[in-house]
Amino acid sequence: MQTDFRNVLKERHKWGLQHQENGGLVMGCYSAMVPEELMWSCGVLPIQFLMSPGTYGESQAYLPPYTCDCSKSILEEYLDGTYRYLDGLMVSHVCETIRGLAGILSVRWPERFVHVFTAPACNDLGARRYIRAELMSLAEKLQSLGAAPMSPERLEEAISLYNTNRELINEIYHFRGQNPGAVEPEQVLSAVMSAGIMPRPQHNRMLRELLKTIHKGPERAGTRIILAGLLFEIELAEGNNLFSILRESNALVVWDDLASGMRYRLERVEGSKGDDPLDRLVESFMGPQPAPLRSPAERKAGQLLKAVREYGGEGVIFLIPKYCDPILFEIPTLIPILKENDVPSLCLEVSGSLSEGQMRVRVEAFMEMLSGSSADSIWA
Amino acid sequence: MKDDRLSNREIAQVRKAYTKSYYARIRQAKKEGRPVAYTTALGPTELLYAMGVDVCMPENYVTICCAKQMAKGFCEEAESRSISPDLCSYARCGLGMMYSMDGPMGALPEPDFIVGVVSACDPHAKWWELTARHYNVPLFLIDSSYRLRRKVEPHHEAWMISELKRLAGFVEEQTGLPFVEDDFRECVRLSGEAHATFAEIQELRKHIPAPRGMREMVGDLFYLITQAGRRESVDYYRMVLKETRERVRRGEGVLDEERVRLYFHNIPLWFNLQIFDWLAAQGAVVAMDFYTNHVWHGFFFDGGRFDSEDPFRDLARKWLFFDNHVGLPVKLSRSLISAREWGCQGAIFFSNRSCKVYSIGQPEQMRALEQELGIRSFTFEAEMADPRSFSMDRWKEHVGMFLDFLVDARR
Ligand code: SF4
Ligand code: SF4
Repeated sequence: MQTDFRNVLKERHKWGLQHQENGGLVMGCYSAMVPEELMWSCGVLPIQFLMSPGTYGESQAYLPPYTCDCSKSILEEYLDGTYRYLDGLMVSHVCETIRGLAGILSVRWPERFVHVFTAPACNDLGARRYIRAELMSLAEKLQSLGAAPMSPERLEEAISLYNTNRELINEIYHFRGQNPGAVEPEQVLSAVMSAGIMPRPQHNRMLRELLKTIHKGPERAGTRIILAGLLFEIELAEGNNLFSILRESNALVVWDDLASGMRYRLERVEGSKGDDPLDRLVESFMGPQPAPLRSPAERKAGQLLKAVREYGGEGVIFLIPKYCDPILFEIPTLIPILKENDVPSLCLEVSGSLSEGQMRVRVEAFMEMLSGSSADSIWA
Repeated sequence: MKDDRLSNREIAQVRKAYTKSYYARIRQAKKEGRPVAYTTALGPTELLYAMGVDVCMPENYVTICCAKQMAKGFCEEAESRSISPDLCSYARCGLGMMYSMDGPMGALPEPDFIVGVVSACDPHAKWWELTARHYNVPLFLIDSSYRLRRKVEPHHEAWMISELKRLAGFVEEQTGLPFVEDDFRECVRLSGEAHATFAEIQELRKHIPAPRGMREMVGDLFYLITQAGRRESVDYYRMVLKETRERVRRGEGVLDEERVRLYFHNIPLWFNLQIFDWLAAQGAVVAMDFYTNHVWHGFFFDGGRFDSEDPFRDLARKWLFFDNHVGLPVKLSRSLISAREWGCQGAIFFSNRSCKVYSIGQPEQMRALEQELGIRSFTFEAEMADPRSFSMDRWKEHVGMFLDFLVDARR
């Protein structure tokens, strides 16, 4: 069995198309904060949109220039027919742009199913009741698209399947944190991102294989860094300059806090067997959420500091997509908190004008600064 | 003998005097130790006023800042503190005022707590988070569902009601003041009356010539946003309604002769409201606009009224129909109704780099106006609260050509 998840990313439509051939439905999703377990239990494969930066053509007629590359990339592939096979679209409210994009798609393709899912920022009885009703209403809508009806047994199975997946991913993260030289960062990130497009049974099998192949070897020396922000997934498959620059600068990625697939690592659907599985799923959607819009930046700072402590992180590199407001709003809080805790940081804008040359200069300057170990920050 | 009627200019004077007294009232409240809350322009003032809280809206203060041509400096101040220039200029200017402890009438008093709205837009959550951290005060974020289409499912409304009740509990905790249902009921009733009166004023804009244009209406909005739930807002709109009816009766308009009636989409350029005067000088009136009709007033524009007998339900409905809480299919149909029913012959779509909520989806609206109503649009890019984003000379040149095109097309 292959264990290189980069190949999975390269064939990103294969899994959805196969699932459809076997009679299932496929839902295009943005953000893991959508009820994937519910969808899977109804025979629907949720697949995350994978983004690529690039020159966008037709999408520019619909989206203003001051929107992020993620939204343009999704729209571009809708317009050119790449996503024609999807049975619907479900986005989570993680930013204004994605809601706006859902609106455009629902006007352009009125016959298609488009849904904006809101995972509450708060955690109280009202939110719990809301999510319960929302999940039930969604199950009905999926059924009207041809999905199987919701059943507690199948939902229980789906929760257990997804929890296993989270445990395996967590295991890889933990292992990598302690032995950062044992597995390349692209491999780890590709594994997480593949979770968003593959059926979980196959993904779990591949993760187990990957775990078998990474063995604790002699510790590699290097500067231990943490990545945060957002990375264009497709760059992983096709080779990203950032990682070669990091390698050449002798940087070891010990942890990452990238937006893609965050819920897969951080949040288990908890509760003991025998409880109503729907209640447990509801509970997993109570706030605050992993997305920056729906949780305070202090919480994110706490998670970063925890990773710094656990894995000996020496600095944080933020990958900031241009025009991503929720991430941009967090930076003025995160950087000072890191600084107060003697953790230097570097901010890199990951789309738009930053060339490989500029990125190299900045990353190298940052790595040098880390060897001098002054807690400062650099804006690129 | 001079009659006792008020011109549009005199109405504006009444409003300006009241605005000053409103800010003085907040300062006084702070001095006297009464609770002061910051909230967003979409904040539930009805509930806060009912609970004895003085409400301060930094966004409104930003608009005053813009009018006094002070916004640029405050935006720059924020940018010098890692606030990206790509973020909403309300937030940048507001944060700049906060960091520099200054503002058009001096610094705003510090809040005792803050009420943000995570469901409204990215800044309405994250700007307040920065503010709360700066002042070290509690932040309450209201959440709400989002509907692409108009249909409200029972659980949407139930959650909104629950959020408002949760807020009431939070305010009780912060202030030690009890929630009194009768006070709340009265504030919601006043808000409903203000909106219903505002709707009547908007109706009168259908007359040719239009008695009030966008410049007048965006000023009027002050009472719908900051004073919803207070008697003063009802009194103001009744006064404006009376005067506007009289203007209609006498056939008086913003322009005596309208060359073109326009629909305007997005927030006005607060630092340059003179664009409306310039349009008027060209014989063009903004007979209807998205901003005053669809954002706060969406529920009423869609025909809703506060008639459920339950103040929480009424307020929840108003919230669910904010433009920020509905998707493009609803936004688009509202634009079509506004442009058609107010007899607009052309449209100006301001593509606002500051505001993705109102700007994404504009091309679809422009296409629909053209295809369904034959209305052509002009679009330009700027930011409503950052004067660095706009060149009046270039704008005049382009809009001038557009207006000529519209007039020629009508011939
Ligand atoms: S990159 Fe940021 S702004 Fe763009 S869709 Fe993702 S979360 Fe939204
Ligand atoms: S202008 Fe738009 S983005 Fe800015 S606070 Fe208002 S609604 Fe939000």
